[in-house]
Formats: sequence, C-alpha cells, structure tokens
Amino acid sequence: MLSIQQLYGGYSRQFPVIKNIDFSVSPGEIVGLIGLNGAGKSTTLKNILGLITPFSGTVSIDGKTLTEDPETFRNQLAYIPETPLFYEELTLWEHLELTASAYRMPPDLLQERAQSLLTRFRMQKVKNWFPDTFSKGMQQKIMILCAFLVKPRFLIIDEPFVGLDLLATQSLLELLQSGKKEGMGILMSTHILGMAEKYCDRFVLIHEGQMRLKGTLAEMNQQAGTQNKSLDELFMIAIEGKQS
Amino acid sequence: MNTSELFYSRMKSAWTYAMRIIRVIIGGGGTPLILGIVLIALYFAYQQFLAWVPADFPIDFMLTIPYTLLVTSSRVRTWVKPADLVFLLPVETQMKPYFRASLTYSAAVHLIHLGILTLLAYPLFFIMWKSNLAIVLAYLFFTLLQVYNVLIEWWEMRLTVSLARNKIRMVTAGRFFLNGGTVFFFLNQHAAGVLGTAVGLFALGWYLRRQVPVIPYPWHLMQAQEQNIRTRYHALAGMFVDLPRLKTPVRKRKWFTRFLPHWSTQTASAYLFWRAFFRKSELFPISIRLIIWAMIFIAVFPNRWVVFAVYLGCVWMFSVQLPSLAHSQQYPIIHKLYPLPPKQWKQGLRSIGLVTIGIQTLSIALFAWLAGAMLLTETMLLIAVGGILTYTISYFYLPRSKQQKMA
Repeated sequence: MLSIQQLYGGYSRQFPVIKNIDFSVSPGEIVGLIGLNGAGKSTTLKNILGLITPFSGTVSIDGKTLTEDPETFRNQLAYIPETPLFYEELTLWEHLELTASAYRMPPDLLQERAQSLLTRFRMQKVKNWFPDTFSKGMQQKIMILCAFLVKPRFLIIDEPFVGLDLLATQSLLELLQSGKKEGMGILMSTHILGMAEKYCDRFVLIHEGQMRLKGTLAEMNQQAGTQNKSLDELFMIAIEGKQS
Repeated sequence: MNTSELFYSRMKSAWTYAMRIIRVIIGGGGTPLILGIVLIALYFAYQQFLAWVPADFPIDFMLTIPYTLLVTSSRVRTWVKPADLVFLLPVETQMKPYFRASLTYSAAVHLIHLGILTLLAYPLFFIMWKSNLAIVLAYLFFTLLQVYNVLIEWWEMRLTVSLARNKIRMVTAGRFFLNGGTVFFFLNQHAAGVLGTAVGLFALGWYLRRQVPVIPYPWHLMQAQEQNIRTRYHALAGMFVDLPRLKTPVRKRKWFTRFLPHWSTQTASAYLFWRAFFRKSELFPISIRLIIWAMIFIAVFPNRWVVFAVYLGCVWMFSVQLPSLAHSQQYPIIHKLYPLPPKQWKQGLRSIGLVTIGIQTLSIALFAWLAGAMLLTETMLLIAVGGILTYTISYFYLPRSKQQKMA
C-alpha cells in the first residue's frame, strides 16, 4: 500500500504549500486527487515521488520509505507528469529502451509491451522520431507509454488528459481500468470532475493545501453532512464552505 | 516603438552579463594563469616560426585561409528571444531599425576580429610586402569585404523563409570560394583576379538582395542561432567558472546512431550519456576541435616537448568539462525517478571517459609519430602514459568530480 501520513511540504518551511495531508492508495484502486489550481495537488505528488523532500510526515510503500530503500521504492512507482518531460536527444523508441533499461525489463517483455502500446496510441510510425517534432499531445503520449511500459505497482498521474485527443483519452482510460484490474494502485490528479467521478474509487479533495474531504462519494457526503451530492457539488461545498 | 533602442538595451545587458563572468574568471586564479602561460608559450613559438620562415614560404596561401574563414563567417548577432515570437511579431513591420542596429553591431564586432587577425599577421605581411602602407590598405580592403559579407549573410538568413536550407548552404559555399579567391588574388596583388572575384561577389549579393522578401523575418532561425551562440559561450565560460546550464540545441546526427551503445538492462546511464554526448552536449564538437588543434600544433611545431605539452593540455581541457555531461540539470527531472543506484550513473560517465579520452590520447600520439615529432619508442611511451591517464581520470577523477551530480 502507498501510504501518505501527515505530510507537510512545499518550497519554504515558513509557508508550506501542503499541510497535514494523509491518505493511502491500495493496489487495485484509483484514487482521485481533486483541487483548484494552486491547491497543492502537484506539490503533493512531487512529495510522494521524492522530487521534493517533505518538511515532515512520511511517504511509504508497504511500510518502506524512499530513504530506507530507494531502489525498491522507485521500482514500484511510475509517474506521468502534467507537462511532458522528455529527453530531447532521444527518439521515442530510445525513451522506451531507456525506461526498460532503468527498470531492468527483459528484452522480450520490452518488445511485447512497447509494440502493443505504440499500436494502441498510434505512434508506430513516429517511433524513431525525436520528440521536439511532436505536438504536445504526442509528447504527453511518450510519458504515458513509458509509464505503462513498466506496469508499476503504483502509478502517479498529474492531469493526464491535458492535450490528449479523444482516442488517446479513451485508450488511457482503458489502460487505467485494465491496470486497476491487474492490481495497479493509481493516484490521479485531475480537474475533470465528471471523469474522476466515473473512474475513481476514492477521492482526496484538497483546498489551500489542506485536505477537506476524502474517501468514497458516500463517505465524503457523510463528512460534509450532505446526502447523494455529486463530486461537483461536494467540490463546491468543500471550497466555498457552504452547501449548494 | 523605437526598436533600435530595444536592440541596444539587449546588447548592453548581454555585455554587462559577459563582463560579470569575465570578472569572475579573472578573479578565479588557476585557469587564467594556465591560459597566460599557454599564450606566452604561443608567443615564443610564433617568434621562432617567424625567424624560421624561408623566403619561398607560401605566406599568401597561409593568410588566405584565416581571412577567408573570417570574412565568410559573418554571423549576425540579433539577440532575438523566444518570447519575441509573441511580443515582437505584431510590430514586425517596425523591426527595421532593430535589425539595422544589429547589422551595425555585428559588422563592428567582425571588424574588431579582423583587426586582431591583421595585428597578429602583421609580421607575416611585413615579410611579404615590407610596407606599412600596403598593410593598412589591406586592412581597409578586408574591411570592405567583411562589411559586405555581413550584409550577404543577413540576406542569406532572410532567404531561409522562402528557400530550402541546402540551397542557402550552397550559396554560402559559393561565397566562401569567391571570398577565398578575392583574398588570395589581393594578397598576390593580382588586380584582374581581384576584380573578377569581387564582381562575382557583388553580383551574388545583388541577386540575393533582390530575392529577400520585406517580411517575414526568419524568427525561428534567429532564435536558434542565438541559442547556439549563448550555449557556446556558456560552454566556453563553463571551463573556468560554474555557470547555470543552458538549454542546448539537439543535433540529431542520425548517421551516428548505429555506433551508439545498444540497449541492455545494465547500461541505462551509459545509454543516456552517449546519446547526450553526441546529440546534445557541446562536448563532442569540443573533443573533435581539441584533437584537430593538437594536430595542427604538432604539425607546425614538431617537437617532442611541444607534443607532450599539447597532449597534456588537451587531456586536461577535455577532462575538466566531461563531468558536466552527468549533471542533473542537463536532463529532465524524470531521471530521478529511475530505480538506479548512484554508482550506475558514475559507471556511465566512466565508460564515456574511457572511450573519449582514450581516443584523444591515442590519436594525438599516433599523429605525433606520423608527423615525425617523435620516435616510435617515444610514441609507445606516450600511448602508455595516455592509457594510465585515461584510466586514472575515468576511475578516480570523473566519479568524484563536483560537476557530476546525477543521483
């Protein structure tokens, strides 16, 4: 289980961006991280990934933190960032090879998974191209391909649908569903509440760096003192502090 | 909007920044001292060369090469920034004063370069012509040639919006030969030859000028060129002081892919570093330039001690820059997420060190032997020294260098 406990973090100790964030992601579930721009979603994800060091609190996988066992921790995580981060000097195929190499995947598995992903996302023709010639959506696909190539135990996704076309969005949703069925734990930050409500099992609603609500829709309704409210409505209640 | 003021304010801030770096370098101690020693050594070597020059030495031919390269390479400095595509594009029709200022500045800088070359070549001119007036006239002639080349370069740049890049390259190649002819005939005082090539050059410029559209300006090209210049200056300054890394343009070099290490589960860092080395970093061209300069030096001064000094100098200059290849700022943050132990990143850098420094030492040593600067036994000894240096630098210096910080 990916466990986040009493996490405080950000860029300045005097003004932490996130305060007392506390939730978990179990294998085989999708957890939606919901919040406005600047609420602290990306900071939360970066703290979980160890890209920035938390001021206090712990992030652990099966009880082990990044500092205790960095290789095992890293081996179990993959990340799809909001803005595509790629190596300009590598082709799409070389990105896949590098990822496979870093995660020590056997060659036949690389071939099998890579070919299937390239076909699914219609990137076969451009696999030997350099990403600087790609559109933003295609660049984002590189991130998706590399993450699903690894099939990690836990996948962290930051605003995954930004820039993707309709077919790619559909393919990603299918992959998320099949990953979940295979036991992958997914933490997904998104603005698209309708999609989150449809695909996520649980939610963590953050506002101004603090957790306002968390759990299933029913649990969040209970916490908010409401009944049968949709995610949109609960979101408004959480950020405005009033019932609609 | 007075766009020429914008140019001069950009020029001023770029020079302020450059002067700040130069001050830090001068205050740095060690490296400038070594540079000073190298310059003094070069001065004495030049003196020896001048004393040695025989009467039938082809000075005219020797001078033709640097002058032709200098006048042909008339790069136009524009200081165009990526955001200009958004903010200056709406005033594109008012950009003429900006680029006029840019051309004036670029021509002035090239004339300073030309002046420095002429000062350095003054003793050779004097051997050839024995007249100060003739040398002054030569400088004035080359000044005209230089200014005209800056204009042609600008027209060539502007034509990239409507002509294919390979056609522009052919034009540049043609200009190179015309410049070469003009310089050579001038140095030989062959009036008809000068007239013929100069008319050719004028006709080329006139033709290009007629083809240039009023707008658009080649924004992308200017932006890329500025990026290249900044990266090159930063790489140069980075030899002396620690500077923030700049985004480096990628040269795809697809033909080289087959020589790059293949994928394996054990070599993620080497896989990445080799590709960065050939396609993105400035280190590959630097390594080639160092080898070429070393060979030129050895060919001009075929002395075993010169060979040894050049050999050590090259290894040192390259080795101090190599660790920057493994600096985390060169790569997107995702590399930090890979489940790789720190020693894997160091292994990748080590493999690059072993091959590149190995090739550098071996090629310089073999060239020294072929150039007759060293005996076979001395060459074998130098190769052995190179082997030890390569091993020591790769296994002990590179993994501990402060500039490599991947993990």
